[in-house]
Amino acid sequence: MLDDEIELPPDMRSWRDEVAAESEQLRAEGRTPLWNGPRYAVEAFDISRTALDERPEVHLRLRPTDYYTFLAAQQLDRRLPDGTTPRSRYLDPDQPLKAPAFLQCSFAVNIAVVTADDMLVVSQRSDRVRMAPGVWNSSVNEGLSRHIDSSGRSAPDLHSVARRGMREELSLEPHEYSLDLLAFVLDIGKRHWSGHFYAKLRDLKSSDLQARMSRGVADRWEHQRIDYVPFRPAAVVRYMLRDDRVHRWAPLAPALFHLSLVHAYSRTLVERVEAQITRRL
Amino acid sequence: MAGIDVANGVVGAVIGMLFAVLFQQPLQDAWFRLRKRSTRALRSLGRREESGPAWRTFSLGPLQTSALIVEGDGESPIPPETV
Repeated sequence: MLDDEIELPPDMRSWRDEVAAESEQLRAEGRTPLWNGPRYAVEAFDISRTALDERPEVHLRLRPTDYYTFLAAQQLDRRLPDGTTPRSRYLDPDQPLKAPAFLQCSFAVNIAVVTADDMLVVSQRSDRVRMAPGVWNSSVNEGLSRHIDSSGRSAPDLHSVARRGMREELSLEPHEYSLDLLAFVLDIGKRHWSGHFYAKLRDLKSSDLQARMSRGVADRWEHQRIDYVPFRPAAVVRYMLRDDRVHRWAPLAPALFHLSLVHAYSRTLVERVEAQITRRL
Repeated sequence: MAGIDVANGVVGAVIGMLFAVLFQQPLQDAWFRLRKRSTRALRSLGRREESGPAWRTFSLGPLQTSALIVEGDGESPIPPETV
């Protein structure tokens, strides 16, 4: 964890002021102002291997920021006074992992939840959320919060963030599921980082989960619809490629479902099924 | 004369049969190899040197995404203590 807050370049600072002004305007009109919570920006992401068993070691360097800065920096294709855009000025398509921290103000966990009766939970984001409204997404999507997920200068624990997301979005407690971190994934379009998790419910079936959620969910407003898809390679792949889904996915979700299938069924089987289905399209 | 023609015919048939039995498989193989090589040579005429980035975003048939899997392959989970 680094101490200094993210600073936007001088010619992007007014964009953050615009976001703050919009929020004040909404407040003045008696409407809900924009939320502005403390967040993390990704300063650096490094991977190494342990000497003996070559297990991955992931090093994350995070820097404090807030949601308004994130919203300002998300305007990657807006013109700057010199005619360039943040994307053309700061990002190199051939080096996707290199980017200044102020363009990477988002780190979230995405979880593929599979019920005890082998149904994959797929959520549709609410039309009320500011980022990517209405798209189909992972079962749980939870951003790292500087306020909730770290005490003092300690770094956030990604598994704890995932457990918080499970509680807030699906009303599930840690003893009710197993949790595995499968991958780190970067959306190079919007510069969003994600820890991709797979959670398997021990006893709760899809009907139990629906009943549980009917009794109250903290962040219910974030989702507007939830689908339950049989968690078999052919069923999940066909679902992802359905005409009414194929172009309506949040960028990070399909990779999550693919990795979860590989985790549960093996790469060989999943690749074979995917090849068969895409060939017949 | 007719006897000689019949004998020649029989000898020819036997030799033809022997030839077919002995050389059918090698001849078929050679013909198959010739067709395969000529097809490959014709196809390779349109090929050019290719180069692509080592990093490619996740795609599945018509489903193209901007998600880059930076670490992890799904088969082995990343232990919490290594992050």
